[in-house]
Amino acid sequence: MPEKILVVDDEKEICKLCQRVLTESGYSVLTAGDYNEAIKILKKERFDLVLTDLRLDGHSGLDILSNIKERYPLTSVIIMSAYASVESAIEALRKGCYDYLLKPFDIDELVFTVKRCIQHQRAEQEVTLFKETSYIYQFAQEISKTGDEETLLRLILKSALLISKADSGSILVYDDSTETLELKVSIGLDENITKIMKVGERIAGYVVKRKEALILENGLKKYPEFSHVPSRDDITCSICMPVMLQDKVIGVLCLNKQNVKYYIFSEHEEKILNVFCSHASLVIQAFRVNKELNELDKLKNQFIANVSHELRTPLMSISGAVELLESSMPDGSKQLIELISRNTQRMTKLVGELLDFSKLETGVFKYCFMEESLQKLLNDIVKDFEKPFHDKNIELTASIPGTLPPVKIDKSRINQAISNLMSNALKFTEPNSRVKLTAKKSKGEIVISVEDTGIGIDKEHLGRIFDRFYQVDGSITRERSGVGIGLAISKKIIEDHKGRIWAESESNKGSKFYITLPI
Amino acid sequence: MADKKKSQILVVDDEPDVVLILSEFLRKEGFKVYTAHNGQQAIDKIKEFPIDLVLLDLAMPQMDGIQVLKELKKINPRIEVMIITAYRDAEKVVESFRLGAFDCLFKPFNLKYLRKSIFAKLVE
Repeated sequence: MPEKILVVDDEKEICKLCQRVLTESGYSVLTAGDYNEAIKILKKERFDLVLTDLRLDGHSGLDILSNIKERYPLTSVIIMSAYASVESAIEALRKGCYDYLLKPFDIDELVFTVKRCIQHQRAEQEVTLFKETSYIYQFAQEISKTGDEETLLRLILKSALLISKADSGSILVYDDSTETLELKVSIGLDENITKIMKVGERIAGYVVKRKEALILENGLKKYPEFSHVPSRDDITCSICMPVMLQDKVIGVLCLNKQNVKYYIFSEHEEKILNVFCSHASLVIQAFRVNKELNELDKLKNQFIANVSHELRTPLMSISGAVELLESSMPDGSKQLIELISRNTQRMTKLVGELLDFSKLETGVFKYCFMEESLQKLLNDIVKDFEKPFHDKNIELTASIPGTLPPVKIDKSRINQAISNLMSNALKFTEPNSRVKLTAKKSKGEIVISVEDTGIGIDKEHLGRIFDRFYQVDGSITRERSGVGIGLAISKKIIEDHKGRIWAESESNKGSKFYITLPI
Repeated sequence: MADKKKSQILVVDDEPDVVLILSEFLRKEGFKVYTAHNGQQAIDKIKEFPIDLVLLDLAMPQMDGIQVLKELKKINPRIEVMIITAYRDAEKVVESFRLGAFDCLFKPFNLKYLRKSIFAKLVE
């Protein structure tokens, strides 16, 4: 579709020359010989650019300029004049004309100026479109966390009004299952307008049915198919766009130009708004999906909370019963009681991890940061692990200097993170080997490492062991137990402390896990 | 310490096994123990007996622990209440502290912690 240009000049030869040259350049050109003819043509159609002489008999090109700016703010104007004066040039530019051509002008200069003007016009609209769409994307993310769909739609409508320079508008949402449209937001319109309509009913319903944009001029008198819809005299032109997701209509965007004498939305504006609507539909879709995910997330967390409650209640009964029995058992049964007790503790720990896992997903671990001595914390961990390591005949050594500076940490969470590494070392190291826990001060941080001489980790797995559920051997026939979230939890804890966690390993030679904590 | 043997404790939990274990343990520790399996029973017992301390579960059908706690404190503000819960719902626990509960144990807990906390309260 070539851009439309109107040339206004009382010299026929100038008109002819401009028409010839600009048509050759690919534009669609009309001409007018005087002010009245120009106004008549402008009433009938819209142009992308008007080239006008500054002096027309009895009128000034500036009158045409004001006239156009009032009706078609998006139409550009270039003034041509033989009587160059700085004042008129400045006035024309101030009134919004794009450029100034001095007669006699060079043909190349004319073509160049027109081209630049049209390009500028396009670019400006696209920049606005880009700005407004990136803006709705940004805000949509924010809104999906806290707000409702109406807030999002209002934002989209505001952006659409800015892009189209329209005065009022509305967004209707289409419900596929009931085939109805509901007006969700409006700006600059009467609150009492019809809110719900069926497909085919009224203008928006018609747009849903046709799945294409509709431009309506001068109220509704021209359109017999809408004779039943109340017309509004203050609306000069309306555009109703279907908001489509793939080939389904999800809503309708209506924009109105009000209180101007003449205005028709151009094809180019329709195109721009079409692009805008596709972005808007994606944003709406993303918002809905997000909302659904959030709800699912809530359900899942509730479910996990309930499951752990259900698991903990019998654990309470078992562990309580065991504790009561312990004091009154004959020696022969002590070992069995100890077994029940140990396994109850193990299950209790697993239930705790299950809850931690759900918090890991939603990202809310609550911490209580206090200045703590790492020396004491690490020694406590060593004490806790002495027996299980000894039982498996693994030599556990520790190198914990007494000179470690205090650090601000959540003691129980850091204990959990390091204990996870220790449990892994215990789990993946064969009897008759060694595990070593080391801590030392480095530049601005404390480095804690757990080194084992176990089975090691292949390079292909090393990068993924901190992912949740990831297990080097995840098969049913695997030899080692666990659910595969321990390292993911450790990673979350350490990163929330602004520290780092990583592993170095060689298959069959053992692994070394590192944790750093800033001082 | 002399006082504590005379102390009367009410165990409130909708889980019969938990009630059984806790009351058994507390009896062995020398307390006079009453039990209730729901909120209404708890309130009835409070009205009937001179109870010093209540072990109160939070999640119960019909009347939950928070409601029971409010009622108990209305009947006798001097009753000490310890929350026992399997939910890790911080909000509920904080609310129960605001309403005057003196401690909270998360299930499953070791009975020795229960002993420690109750002794500390009744002897102080």
